[in-house]
Amino acid sequence: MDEALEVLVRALVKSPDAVRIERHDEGRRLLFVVSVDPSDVGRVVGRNGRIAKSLRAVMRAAGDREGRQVVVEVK
Amino acid sequence: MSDLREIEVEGPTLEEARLRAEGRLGALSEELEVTVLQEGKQGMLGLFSRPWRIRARIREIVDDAAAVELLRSFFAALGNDVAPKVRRDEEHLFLDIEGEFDWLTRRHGEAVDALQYIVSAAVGRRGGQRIVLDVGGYRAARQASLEKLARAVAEQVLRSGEATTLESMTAGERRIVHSVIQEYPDLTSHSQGEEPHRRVIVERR
Repeated sequence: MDEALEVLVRALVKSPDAVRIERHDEGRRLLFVVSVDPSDVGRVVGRNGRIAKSLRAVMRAAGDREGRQVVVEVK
Repeated sequence: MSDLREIEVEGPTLEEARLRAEGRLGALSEELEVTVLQEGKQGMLGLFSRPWRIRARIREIVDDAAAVELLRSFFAALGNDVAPKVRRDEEHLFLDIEGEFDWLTRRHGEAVDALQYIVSAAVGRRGGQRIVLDVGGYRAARQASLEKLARAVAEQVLRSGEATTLESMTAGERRIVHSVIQEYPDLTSHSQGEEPHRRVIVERR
């Protein structure tokens, strides 16, 4: 699942090599903390947070399949 | 090939102006979106004549290869091999993924819409074609059920004369409902409320 999130985030930014995804396994809950180059934050958050919201929705669905509650934070 | 994407040109006829724009932009005529700024006039003996002035813009063609590659990589990372099919019309780039993806399509396809939004943000361009993603025929089925719902509501409003408010829908879903209601000359529809809780209201004219 880390890799799937990374694919999406790398496609959104101008500096894909600066993308870092930290994974925190917290029992059933799975937290991903996404960090990108400061100049790319807007590209991952989007207008009114819409891209970040979309990333959360897609990863929540991917997590459902494995019975995990996935949370995505953008740093 | 020039980097110009938009240009204003004049010509004695509309056709001539278009040809000049194509030459200057290095574009094919079907790639151009043309706005007439000034209609030309022939005049007499070259007197009182006026040239045609147009603005020509290269219509952005969304990169389907990048969109397909992004979707393939995303699904591959989740252990699914997919081969998105590409269809286009003037305004849309349709990407259809076949197979059973219940985990994406449940919750009214919230995740399909989200993935479509991400792909659009990643590869789409302003002024370009709108990307429409479908997974497992979900959107086609949803369209059919929305059309059916819209017709049932239309009949009910015609019978009762009372306005009806539908459940909240995405912009694309509301568009489907509005276009069905337009087929009824005695009915009108509009949307009300803030995203993501915007609802369509159907009423008599």
